[in-house]
Amino acid sequence: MNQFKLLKRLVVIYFKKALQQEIAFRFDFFVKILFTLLELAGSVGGILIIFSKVETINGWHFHETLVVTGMFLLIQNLKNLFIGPSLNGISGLDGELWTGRFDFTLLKPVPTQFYISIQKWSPLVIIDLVISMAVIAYALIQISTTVTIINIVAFIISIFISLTLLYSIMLALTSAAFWYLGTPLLWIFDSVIQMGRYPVKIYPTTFKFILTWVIPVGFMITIPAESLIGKVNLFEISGGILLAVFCYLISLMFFRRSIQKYSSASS
Amino acid sequence: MNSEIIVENLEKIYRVPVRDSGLIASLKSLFKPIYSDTVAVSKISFQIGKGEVVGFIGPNGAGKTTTLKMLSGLLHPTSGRVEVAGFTPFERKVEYLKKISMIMGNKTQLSWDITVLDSLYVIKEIYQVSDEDFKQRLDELVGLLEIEELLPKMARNLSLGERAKCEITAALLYQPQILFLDEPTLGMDVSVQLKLRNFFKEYNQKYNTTIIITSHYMADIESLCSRVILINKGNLVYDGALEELASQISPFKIIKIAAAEDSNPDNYAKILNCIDGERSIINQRENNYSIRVHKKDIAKFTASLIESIPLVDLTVVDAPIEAVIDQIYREGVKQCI
Repeated sequence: MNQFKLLKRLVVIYFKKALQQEIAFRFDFFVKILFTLLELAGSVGGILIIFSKVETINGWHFHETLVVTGMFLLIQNLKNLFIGPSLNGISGLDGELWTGRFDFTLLKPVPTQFYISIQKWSPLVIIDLVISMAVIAYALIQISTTVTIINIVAFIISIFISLTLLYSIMLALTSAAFWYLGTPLLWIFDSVIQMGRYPVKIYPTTFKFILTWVIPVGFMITIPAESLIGKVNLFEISGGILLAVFCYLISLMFFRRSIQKYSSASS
Repeated sequence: MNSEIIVENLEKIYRVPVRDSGLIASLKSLFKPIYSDTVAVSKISFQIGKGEVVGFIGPNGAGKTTTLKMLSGLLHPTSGRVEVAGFTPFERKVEYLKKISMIMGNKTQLSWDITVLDSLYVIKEIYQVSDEDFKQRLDELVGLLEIEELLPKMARNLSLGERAKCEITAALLYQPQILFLDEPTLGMDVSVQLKLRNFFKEYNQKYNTTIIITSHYMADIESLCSRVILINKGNLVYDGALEELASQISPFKIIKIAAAEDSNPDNYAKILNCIDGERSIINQRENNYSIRVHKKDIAKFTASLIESIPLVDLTVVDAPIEAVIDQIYREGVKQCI
């Protein structure tokens, strides 16, 4: 069996396993729906209040901003589907590093990085994914710009950039746990991504620059949204690709170094 | 003998941060951490053949687990050579990882929230065990370990002993060539311990699996291992048969006597007076005494005992292995041999 097939099967079995776990807690389902609705109300309500007073913010209309909100929810939920739960299982107080279960992870005859990235799923998040896509679709219809093929292509590329950046940052923060077993650093990520709730383009130039290139929440959320609306330019897309590749390579190196550190010092 | 495991001058040094007690010292170490080197394993060498069952023994912190982790590839050695089944463990090659299995008595690899059988299916997929093999091995292990009724339960609802059996099933599903057992019977009751011991014995005979076991229960080691490797403070101090270790190290035997009915308060002193060599009364209950005596003094001592105290019973036994090991741990093996 070749590598790709094995990886695919791993994804399938861990997704199934998660489904079995969730079925065991039926009540969770209702709590989850309630939580989703609350979060949606909070996000949309927030911008509704602002736009009840003003027509535009730095050139952004309500429905354009709503696309960004939908994108914020979409990216957040893509993270919550498996990357978040999986990597959270490594660091933190009952994480594998703390309990020593990481030993078993290292003993498994599968690529470690892949394994730790897909081992836990939250299948119920699929509901949130659908809702966030519905929000985006609704907003796009209201804007009534035609979504062209170019927009779609740009969107797919920018989602790719977004997820690569997201994964790289989370992998790097998880790797940091190998050096420091304190507060789970992944929490930092949750705060950082909150900054992408609104289009980064509404901020003053310096902030805009920082939020795009240094803490790349702009690339993670605003730019995929812009590419759907047709506001994106080639410079940003190609810059994003370079940034994503760069970040991924750095975090990959850091991760490998961290595994080495584990195997030279754990007890 | 074909060596499956080759260890040469294996060494592991940990760098651990140290600091004085107190808040100020803690703050200081924040900016300028001080490290000290701890030698966990110090240049040990040994070879283990295919199908051998070898016990690693030694006090807590002796370096047993560290050695085991270097053999399984979880730890990089600081220096020296390890070769297991033709592989260098820490490279963690897929083919190597499929050949080995590790059971750690204090850790679990089963998932808590799904049934045991589902956990086993996950392992089947990871190790790419064919459906046929899976069914056959599962049947066999389920039969040997008597866990049929545990399969549909969630791991979180199992008792320690039950979980251990399922853990073993998980570890053996892919039929590893080499099995590392790190205190597999930790905290189990006597009958579970006995069962596991018999299981491993049978399994080893059937599949010729090489087994390395660490345990603090000497009964585990006594019944399973034809050979023990004794590690103390990172050094290999003994490599050979367990009985030989006992006779080499413990020049003592235990004499058990029962004095005649009258409980005589003088007995105690009388017994001690029977000999001037090294001896001590290690246990007394009513008229029964256990006395530890040097082997060379046994004859003289029994003779004079019989003369001075009316006895109803007298037996001479080897020092229990626990006592021998305890002596080694406390006094170090060098002084003993």
